[in-house]
Amino acid sequence: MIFKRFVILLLTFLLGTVGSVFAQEPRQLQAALESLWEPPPRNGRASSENMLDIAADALLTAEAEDFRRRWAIEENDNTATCQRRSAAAHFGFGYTLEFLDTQEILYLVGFEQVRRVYMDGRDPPNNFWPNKLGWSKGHWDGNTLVVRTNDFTQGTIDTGNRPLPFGGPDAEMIERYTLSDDLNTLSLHVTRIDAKYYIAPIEMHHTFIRSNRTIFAIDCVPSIY
Amino acid sequence: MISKWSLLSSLVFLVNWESSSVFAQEPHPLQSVLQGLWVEDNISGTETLEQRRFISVAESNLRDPGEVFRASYQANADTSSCLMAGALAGEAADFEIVDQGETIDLSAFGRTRRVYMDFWLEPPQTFELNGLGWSTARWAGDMLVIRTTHFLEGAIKSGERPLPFGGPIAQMVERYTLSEDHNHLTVDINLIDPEYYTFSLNVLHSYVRADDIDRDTTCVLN
Repeated sequence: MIFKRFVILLLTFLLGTVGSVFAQEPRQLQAALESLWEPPPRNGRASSENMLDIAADALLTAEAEDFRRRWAIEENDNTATCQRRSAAAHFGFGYTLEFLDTQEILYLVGFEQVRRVYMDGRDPPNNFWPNKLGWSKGHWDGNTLVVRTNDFTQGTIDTGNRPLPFGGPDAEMIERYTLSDDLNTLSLHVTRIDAKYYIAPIEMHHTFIRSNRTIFAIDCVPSIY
Repeated sequence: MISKWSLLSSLVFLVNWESSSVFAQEPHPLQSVLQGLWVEDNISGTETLEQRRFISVAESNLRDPGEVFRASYQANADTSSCLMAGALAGEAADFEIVDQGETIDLSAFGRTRRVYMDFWLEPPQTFELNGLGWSTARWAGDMLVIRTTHFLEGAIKSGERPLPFGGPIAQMVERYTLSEDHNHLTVDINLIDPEYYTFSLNVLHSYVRADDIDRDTTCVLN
């Protein structure tokens, strides 16, 4: 009798553990995320372009300061050379973002780049190599979508003459998306963690409103220094 | 499973931190070397190319509220003769550093700013926004990094072309680097004020150690 109870308890425990490995039930909220999202009109409010500076500039480690000293913008300006940006750079500037939902995968479009957020908990395949978009896994924490991204290559989250380095084996970005009750406002809290370059996590908060604006691609023309 | 991983990551991350409010930094040997009188390394005494560049960039990055500030600014309306801490960016004034161990006193423009060497120290509840703000610092290698927040709105440059700065979100980050012979000091100042400027403003001033400096008379607060 005791043995049976033990087996039942063990099975229950194992099922509970294994269950967390499988995909979560797609929430209705996940479908409601599908849209284009834009920052609200400024109406005289502070610009978001340098909010990333406020959050990060005083937190640089000695290694990051050294990175800055060695930085040559003419060799590294991803914007001017039309190179792909780090996914972690996206949320410093309050640009638009777009969600497309296929239940197992959320496609997140920003900076004219598509990032796949795996909602089924899958790990990178064996032939995966770290890159600027990293590897993103998402799950629901109550009514909040949590996206955790790792496996970034070394890069920057802000360029110009005073770059903010980010990326490498220890770098991680955690995004927490929460919809308003009327589903028309999206609140985003972003935490960037990179102990090699920052003495503390870089925390930022953004708000987006649902948009039906028609957006389109723009060719990037490389600039010559 | 995820929570276990998160917990483990958080612990590894905390241990890897260079510093935090819990793990205070050890005193840096260069802190006492910084003490002394410093004058701008500019024999001509005229506005340097770097200062002109700084002002030009600031003016071209002004947002609408900044233009409104300029239009309504009246230098004589402010009867206080005290300049704000950020004014050191627009004008490389002589200054003095006094090392007190847990704090550094930085005197310029006839005012003394106290810099707390506990980077994560928050201002007391009784603290009121003012022109000097709230300064905390830490060492990043051999560089002293000072972060100043809690500024009252003011001007980092007065006169006919004033430059606004300050308010609840404004932040100044100063980076002090000594030369190998310890007789030269570069001060890199980054002013971040999204209310008034599209991008952050940066300026670099060079100083040499001095036996005496021109001390502005103590300013009179309004």
